[in-house]
Amino acid sequence: MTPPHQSPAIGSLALIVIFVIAVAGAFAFTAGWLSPQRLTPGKLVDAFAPPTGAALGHRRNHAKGICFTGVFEANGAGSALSQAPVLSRGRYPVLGRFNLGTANPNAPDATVRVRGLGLRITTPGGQEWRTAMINAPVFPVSTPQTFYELLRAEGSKDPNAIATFAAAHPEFAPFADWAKNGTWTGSYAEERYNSLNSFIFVDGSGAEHVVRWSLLPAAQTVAVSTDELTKRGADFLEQEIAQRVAGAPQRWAMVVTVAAGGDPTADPTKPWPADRRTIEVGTLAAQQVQAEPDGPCRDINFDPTVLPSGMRTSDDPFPAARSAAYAKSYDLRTAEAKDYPRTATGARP
Amino acid sequence: MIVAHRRFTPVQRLLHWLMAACILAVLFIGVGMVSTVMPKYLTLVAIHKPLGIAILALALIRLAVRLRYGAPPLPADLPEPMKLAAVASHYAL
Ligand code: HEM
Repeated sequence: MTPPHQSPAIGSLALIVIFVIAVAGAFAFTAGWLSPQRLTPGKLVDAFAPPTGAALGHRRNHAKGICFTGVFEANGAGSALSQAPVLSRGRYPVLGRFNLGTANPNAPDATVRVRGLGLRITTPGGQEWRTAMINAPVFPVSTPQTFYELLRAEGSKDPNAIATFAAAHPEFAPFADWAKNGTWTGSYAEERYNSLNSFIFVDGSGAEHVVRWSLLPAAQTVAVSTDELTKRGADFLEQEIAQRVAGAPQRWAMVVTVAAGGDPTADPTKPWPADRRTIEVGTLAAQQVQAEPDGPCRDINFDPTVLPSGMRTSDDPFPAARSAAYAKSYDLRTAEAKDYPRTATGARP
Repeated sequence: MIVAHRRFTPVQRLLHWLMAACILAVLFIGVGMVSTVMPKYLTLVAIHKPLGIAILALALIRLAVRLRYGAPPLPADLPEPMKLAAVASHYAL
């Protein structure tokens, strides 16, 4: 038998020390402590905040919005593209949120260019299709890293920061053109909402299709000038949609566009050619507007990577970055619940 | 029934090293996950959650095994402060 507990040799002590240092080093590397330029979810989320600081308790972007419930009526045609249960013929409950692309929950409606729609469709097995879409026809930038640079430029004190950014990033031009010359409407119900990001649909035979999707409004789109919209008041959008939905459910057609080989699937600044195959897979009906601070949209994260089987992320780098950023925003705002109190009565403010 | 063996049973040693590997992995995956927006974020989250649950399950199994087989006494010649540290860290865990 070996004699128990001899004093450890210098050699093995040194080995232990080296091992511990190596593990600590690897940990620091993994955590990003050795690479301060790494883009983290925290940096992305902080970049939305105005100089006065983020609105505590609220979403760090698309902070202003109004919740609704409704139904998605799948017509079954989508089963040709994906075996997801949500595309097989049927009626599935929906939780949704109309919103404005701003970090300010009190921004006057007529001052916010980007309007969005968050959606969660649930099927009986408990699977969910979550998506968050906007009315812009293209995204301003090609990568999450460039999005961060754009946010930094928007937050910059330099009055030429955006011009400098635009000059360095020609891919920004189509979005800028839409922002300047695109139509403004007086209603969330008259907007078209686009996924912009691409995803992969897997059909019953296992074949994969790269797709994007859009919600096309049934309501007729009426162009209204921003001067006119300003006169309607700071919150006209939520007031209008509440009235409109109370009168009748508001509908959109869900249309899926299939990429052809060679289409830019990883770059949301690039639309696909207009002649690509499209399939109308169903209809979204917004049936009831819900309270925003007390309602069911408060504690949900419309994470675009929460997808049913038969759908998954593609080579588009945005959904993963969004998932990371939305989780960060969600963690922050749910921990700050006391700064965004529920109304005691449960009534809308 | 608690029997004092000279060593931990093979099952206990297996559990010990399995959990050591899992815990180290989950720490690395967790800290990498919250510091990236790259596509690997989704993969890391997809491993992190089930691995965390697996560690919980292993911990429960380990408790049951410990209750069944007990633990050997600490080496008699271990210095007092180290004994104290061993006992205290066990209860802390
Ligand atoms: C890297 C790029 C992006 C970042 C960092 C980002 C960031 C955010 C954050 C932090 C939120 C709040 C999430 C929450 O607290 O629940 C949010 C919400 C939202 N985003 Fe993005 N976003 C990005 C890209 C996009 C894209 C490409 C679209 C649409 C095509 C989009 C549409 C929306 C919509 C509609 C909401 C509101 C969802 C809701 O009502 O909860 N975002 N975004």
